[in-house]
Amino acid sequence: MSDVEDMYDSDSGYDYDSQLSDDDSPASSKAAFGSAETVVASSKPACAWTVIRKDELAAAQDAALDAVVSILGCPKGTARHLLIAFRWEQDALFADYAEKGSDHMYELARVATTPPPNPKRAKTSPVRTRAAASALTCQVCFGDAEPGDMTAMDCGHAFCNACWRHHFRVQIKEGNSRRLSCMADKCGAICNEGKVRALIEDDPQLLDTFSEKLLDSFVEDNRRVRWCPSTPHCGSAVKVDGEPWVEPTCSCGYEFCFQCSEDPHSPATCEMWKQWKEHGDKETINWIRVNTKVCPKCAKNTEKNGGCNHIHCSQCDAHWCWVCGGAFTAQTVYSHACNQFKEDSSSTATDAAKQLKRYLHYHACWQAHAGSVELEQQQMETLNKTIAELEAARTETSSLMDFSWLSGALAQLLAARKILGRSYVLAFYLFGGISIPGADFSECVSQQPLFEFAQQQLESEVERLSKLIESPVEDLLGAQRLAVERLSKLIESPVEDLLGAQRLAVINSTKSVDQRLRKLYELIENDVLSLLPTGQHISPYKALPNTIHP
Amino acid sequence: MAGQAQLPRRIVKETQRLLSEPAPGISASPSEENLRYFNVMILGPQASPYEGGLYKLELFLPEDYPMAAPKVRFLTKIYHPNIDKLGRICLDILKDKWSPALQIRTVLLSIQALLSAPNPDDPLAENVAKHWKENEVEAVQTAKEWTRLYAQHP
Repeated sequence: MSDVEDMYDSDSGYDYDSQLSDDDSPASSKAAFGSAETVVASSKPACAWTVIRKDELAAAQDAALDAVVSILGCPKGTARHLLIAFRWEQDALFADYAEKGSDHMYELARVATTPPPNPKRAKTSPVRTRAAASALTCQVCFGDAEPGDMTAMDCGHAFCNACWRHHFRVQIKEGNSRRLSCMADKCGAICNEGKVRALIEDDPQLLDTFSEKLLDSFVEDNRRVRWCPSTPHCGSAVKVDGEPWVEPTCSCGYEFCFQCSEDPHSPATCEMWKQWKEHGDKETINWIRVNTKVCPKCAKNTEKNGGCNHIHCSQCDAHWCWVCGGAFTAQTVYSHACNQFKEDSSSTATDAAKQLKRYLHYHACWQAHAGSVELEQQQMETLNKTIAELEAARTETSSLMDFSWLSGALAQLLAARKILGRSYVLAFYLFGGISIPGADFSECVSQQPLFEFAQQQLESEVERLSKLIESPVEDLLGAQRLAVERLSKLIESPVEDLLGAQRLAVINSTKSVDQRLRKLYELIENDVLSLLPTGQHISPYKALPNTIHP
Repeated sequence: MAGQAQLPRRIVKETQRLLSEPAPGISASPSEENLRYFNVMILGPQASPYEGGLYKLELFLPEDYPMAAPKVRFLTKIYHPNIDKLGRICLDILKDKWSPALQIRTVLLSIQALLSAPNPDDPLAENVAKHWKENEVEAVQTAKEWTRLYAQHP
């Protein structure tokens, strides 16, 4: 991380040049933020991801296959099935090879290397017929075939080419391209890819489907690669090099959690996010439970709309008491008495009320930041447009105006808001005595004060930055309007002077937001999540996300 | 019988053999209207709760047979953890373990074997399987009862 901090300390402060200008020098952009596709984690060892575009998929797969071919010296098709069996984990494959030998590895992948001289299998082998000494009978169609019209797979089982073709056609259409197996009973060996291709080559459509499905395996069977979940699908996939707990941004601009393919949700965990999204429905039910009572006659949920506890059901005409829930006749309203305490289940309603109140608090905080994100996103779009226009307007002058500090600050603000909003989701689960599948957070309560302090620190700085940015953005827009109105070149110095005073404050606040984000993440990762049993992971803090890149 | 001319050689041969050398306790004959549709009878195996029962099944050879497994279903009611109330059968060789080298005969022999050896750990009829695991004696008794009630020779 030192490179990022060095950047802050290097000069007057923030330097977004390398990000914002179309500077292609990899050295400068890497030094500041990491390249567009490589994101550096905050406290864990560097974790990175790469976008593989649709047209790069075949090359990426071939690279993985070639690595295996070069070490094992096996055909490419064999390498593919070995990798499929090991979920494309090269290291696991080589470890198995080193520890248990090649036989184990091939057996696991159901790849036959040499035809076994197994007498049991003889019965499914072709039978030489008496009629024609050279012809063989295929044990699938019972037809006679010349030896040239039969193919034996690597497992030794031979059938006629027409049957193999029919078998492959059915299996490929069934979606089994990745494991086209031998037709012999109880054999199950994967068919040699080269032989399969040779057999179906006169059906180009089938061959295409076969190749396509094999290529899909590189993504779908691969723990380190995942399709971008954008709809409509952009065709790209994302590959992670280290830990899978990252939130990559695809080249199409779609940002997602690699682990659960949902929207980014760090610092909340995948499971928390899932529960949080489901919670909305549950809380509706909770509201009904807390705020309504059931009519004793027609069982409809009833909401009280006045002070009087005498309820007259509009549905079934029943008269009942809100206090005790008992029915009575209209004549006995004033003689009805329920002041004596009766043990009942009303405590569940109070628990639910407390839980609901708590949820509503966290939900409101989360929603407030989500709402600000939306507004600030629009602000950012307008700003970027304005900057572009200003840059276009000053083409004839030699002097350069640099507003990257401002757009950079907005980007940081947006990123911080998103994280801040989601930190309320995390807090809701961590400190509420709520358990979600696979985790018990009761240990975390001790960290609540520290967490809330760091959260509050971040929140106040975020709001400060938000406020600070407002006026320069307005000024900039005003200057731009002026330039357009006068249909003249923009006079730089007044604008720069205008913003000069705010520039430093914005830069400092941006830096401070970043630092407080780091602190919050450090606390969550080192002091909170570490208290939990394994399996609670979050995507680490991304020092300025790729949103800066259009 | 228009279909007979187009019937693959394999199906013709299998049918001939099923008729000329039937497997013990099993009969299978093609329907006159559709030569891919077979009427099957299986005798309840000895020393099983289905002993003395005669079970009617239907067997259909789909278009892609033998690359696709035949479709088989019990028509006679039977109390068995791997056969549900619609007569559907849970048997690996009818699903993912199907091999084009298997035949109608082998399938029917496997079904006969399934009657001798129910497998409540891989159930299709959940309640029957539960009964089988919790109280096998009683479940076998029910199976015998059903054999008497529904699977008697006409």
